[in-house]
Amino acid sequence: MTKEKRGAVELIAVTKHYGEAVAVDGVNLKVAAGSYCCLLGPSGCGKTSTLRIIAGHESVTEGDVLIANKNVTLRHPSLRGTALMFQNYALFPHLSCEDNVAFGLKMRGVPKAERRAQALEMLRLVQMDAYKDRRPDQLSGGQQQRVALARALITKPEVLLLDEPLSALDPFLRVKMRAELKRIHRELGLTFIHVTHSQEEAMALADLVVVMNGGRVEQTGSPWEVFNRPKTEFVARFIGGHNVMSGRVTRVEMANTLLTAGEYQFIVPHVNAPAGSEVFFSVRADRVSMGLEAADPGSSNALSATVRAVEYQGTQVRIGLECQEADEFSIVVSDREFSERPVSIGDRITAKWEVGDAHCVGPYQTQESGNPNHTQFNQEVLHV
Amino acid sequence: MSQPDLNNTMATPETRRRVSGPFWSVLSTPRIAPYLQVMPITAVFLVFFLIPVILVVVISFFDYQTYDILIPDFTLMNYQDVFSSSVTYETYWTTAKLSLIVWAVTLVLGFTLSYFLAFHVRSRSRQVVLLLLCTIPFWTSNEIRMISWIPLLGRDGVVNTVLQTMGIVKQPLEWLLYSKFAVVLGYVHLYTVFMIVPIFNSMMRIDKSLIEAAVDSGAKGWQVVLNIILPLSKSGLAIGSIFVISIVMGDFVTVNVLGGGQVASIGKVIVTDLSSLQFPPAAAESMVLLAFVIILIAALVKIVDIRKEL
Repeated sequence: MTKEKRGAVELIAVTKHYGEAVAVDGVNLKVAAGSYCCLLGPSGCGKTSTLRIIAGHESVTEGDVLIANKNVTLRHPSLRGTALMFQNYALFPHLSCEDNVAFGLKMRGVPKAERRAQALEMLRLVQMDAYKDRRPDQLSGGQQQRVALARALITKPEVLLLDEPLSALDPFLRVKMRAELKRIHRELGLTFIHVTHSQEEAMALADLVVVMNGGRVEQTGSPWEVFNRPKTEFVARFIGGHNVMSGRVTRVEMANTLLTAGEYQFIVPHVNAPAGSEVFFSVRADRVSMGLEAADPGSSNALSATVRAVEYQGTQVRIGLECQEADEFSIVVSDREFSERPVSIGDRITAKWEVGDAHCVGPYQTQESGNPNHTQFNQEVLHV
Repeated sequence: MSQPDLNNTMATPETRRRVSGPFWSVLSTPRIAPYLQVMPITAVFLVFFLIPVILVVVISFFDYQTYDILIPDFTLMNYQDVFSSSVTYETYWTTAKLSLIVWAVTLVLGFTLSYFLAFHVRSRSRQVVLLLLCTIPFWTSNEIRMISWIPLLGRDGVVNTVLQTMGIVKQPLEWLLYSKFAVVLGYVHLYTVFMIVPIFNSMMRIDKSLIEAAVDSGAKGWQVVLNIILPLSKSGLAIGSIFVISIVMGDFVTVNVLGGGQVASIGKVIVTDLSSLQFPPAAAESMVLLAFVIILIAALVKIVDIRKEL
């Protein structure tokens, strides 16, 4: 797209206290102009508070908020160049769609005919122009959301803030609206900051994923990085599709580090951890293979386990295992693979993985360069 | 096995009838049940509202004499008397004016107080306490509340004494008591709470995120009030208005105590008729007043759809 990108957002050591409770704890964040950023985390992780701080609906206890390189920490919400799309859409129930969208212009004193024309144009962008005279309560959830989006966009913000925009929609509509958001982002070239608790949503939409937990940023990176190179145990668990295990360091070699946990021995890519320290590592569930024969005694990266659950998911099958070394361990195999070698609940199997598929998280982390072909995943789509 | 279970949980009329005994099955017959359910309220409505109103209507067509207070008849004389007397029109004009002033004052007070309660008082418990404070005028009887204004507003009352001592006025203010001012003050004192409660109620239903959305769209404080809060509390305003207008239109106690015979009102005209045992003219006056108030309220309801609030 040729449109210039606007609205870089920067948070510097932003902290927010509610009395004793800390909602946001020293968050540093840089969102490049024109990018699509997802704040991802479980409920209560401070992602919504962070969004509201950027919007100016919440004051900061400490720290600064910069938008387009200007410090806006103390500025009124309407003077920041941001627009917030509320979780419940917050459409004005007494106004028609057109008047809802035109509201911001009315407040700025734009004459009636002009603001109507602009509102209609904005409704056309979200494909709601046919419903301009309807009241919000005459619209479906998805339609309300489109109107809310148009209302947020009419004041020509540099940054669009979306508070769990898709959570109220049914799954089918969610996927559809996801594509719609992406299209509008591409067409308008503004910065989108989108709060969600769905890692799937974040992966599908974001150029930049910010995983938050307990008011802190756990990891910032492209969806590929967050999924394949989780920095912490929390990220590995939250992002899903990972098995997290741990062991104590027994030997550090050039390429590998040896860990032991009980009777098992794990080999992980080299981390510089002192002997005896505990190292956590994750293995993607789809990189674990399943052996029907018992593991050889003394072999590494192999766990004996009992099948606890078999979940058919269409293209793949998830097999839940019970074993001593990981409280939750699952293997994902393709449905073809599964039909060739089916297992059922109660079967004893062996789970195995390659050394290179183990990724150390936490204080002793695998040092790897990100995969340059994948880091720009969503950006590529953006430039099509 | 699973078939009857399913039916039971779904409680279709058929299964309900099958499950219950013969007596209850009659009561729960779909045709009778709803009527039984509305019976109590219908009975109350009938005994305490409909029958009295019908009695008043009937009596308003009766004749009367000095020593025979009710003579069954069908005469339009009482209504002719009402409409031919210039006093009626003057009294209606005065009462309507009074109601209008009281309505305007209580509306503004009610709106601002509710606004403060709903949007500036953050904690729920403090809201409840402050709302209870608004009901303090009702902790004592109507007459005592009225009478307690007298030592305050009288010729040698607190207000006049203070004003004179401070040298603001030389002569005591005569219009403080036994005047329209006193009557309006009494009404406002009593009935502002009837405005506050419904308006507060409709304001509390306004989603706070709507206000944030308006602010986010660039609305200033007064723009939020004008464009969001006012239209969304319209039904509360209408309900409060109905309360205040219908109470003030029919009142005679406040006018009596604080008006001191200087202020006329329709209620007082009716009471005067009653005290001289002229029931049929009083009934006719009442019917005219009722019609007048109904027209006023119908006009208000036309502006706002109250059903939305209920």
